[in-house]
Amino acid sequence: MNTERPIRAAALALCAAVLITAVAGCSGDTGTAEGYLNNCSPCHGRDGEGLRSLYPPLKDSAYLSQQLDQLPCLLVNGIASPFGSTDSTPRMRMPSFAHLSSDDLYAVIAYLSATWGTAGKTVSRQEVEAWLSECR
Amino acid sequence: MMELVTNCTRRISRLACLVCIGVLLAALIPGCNLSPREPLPVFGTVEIPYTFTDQDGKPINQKMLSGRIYVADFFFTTCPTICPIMKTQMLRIYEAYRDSDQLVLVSHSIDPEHDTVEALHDYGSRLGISAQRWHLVTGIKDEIYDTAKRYGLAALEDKNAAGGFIHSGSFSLVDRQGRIRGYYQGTDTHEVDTLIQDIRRLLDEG
Repeated sequence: MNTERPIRAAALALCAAVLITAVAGCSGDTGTAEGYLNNCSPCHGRDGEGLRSLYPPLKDSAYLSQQLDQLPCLLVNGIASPFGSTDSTPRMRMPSFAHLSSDDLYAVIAYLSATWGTAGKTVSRQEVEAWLSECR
Repeated sequence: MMELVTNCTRRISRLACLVCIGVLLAALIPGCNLSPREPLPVFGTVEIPYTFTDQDGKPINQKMLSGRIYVADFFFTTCPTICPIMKTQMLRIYEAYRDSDQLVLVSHSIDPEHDTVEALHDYGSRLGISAQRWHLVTGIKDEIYDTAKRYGLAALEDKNAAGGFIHSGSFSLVDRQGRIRGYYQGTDTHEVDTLIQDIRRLLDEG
């Protein structure tokens, strides 16, 4: 029985997997979970599930699918708290994350976009820098 | 020689069987509650001389909580850090005992200037909770902060902290006699699992 061929195939597959992982890690377009977990997950949940009508879920968020260009300003400025409104739209106040550096904001936005944004669409650092310049 | 090996193998198999039975028994006996669990410790009796107001505008004081088991914590609605996690966990307790009128939850706002009855009503509505079972209370700031101390929990104003306040993330479990029976980290799923089990133990105490 020839065992050399399957072993060679497995080695090639392993190398390919390592290469793909390395390339993905170098691109930086998918961000990292760390910034999300430290800043966003207390309200939006570890898996972006939100909390009832208090904090919105991130899956199917219009900001991530259609208005990504507005996300940097939203993070920098936060959202005011309109207590007393009667509709069921999640409207708790969102704090400002203006204290985060441009690098940290990019990492969070890239992670949000890669995880819950439009499938296959990544965000570049230049795009985020341009959007941030609008509100800083 | 062969006979020696066979005997030896039999002996090892028998020994392995005995060890397996021993391990199984050791695992099963605690599960069978053959040794009854110790009662929960008593950390002291809590006395709250104040009356607060919940999200429906109803007064909440110790007299109204007397004879019921309750879980107390401190939070504020605009808290950007641990409070949403605490509320997610408190919601698990609420759902676990949704049908029990023997347990209530009492969350005290440490930012009463912002967290008015109206603000708490809005918060409670969005959380989808009943004010009969889960009281979100506001009141005089100094009285709320003193109440935190009486529960053995920390709450203080700090302009440099995220949101402007620092407070404990723990839940206090209080029994029908007003005695504190446990402290649990309200941001830790496993500790809240224990709290949910300990509430059952208090309910069983009668």
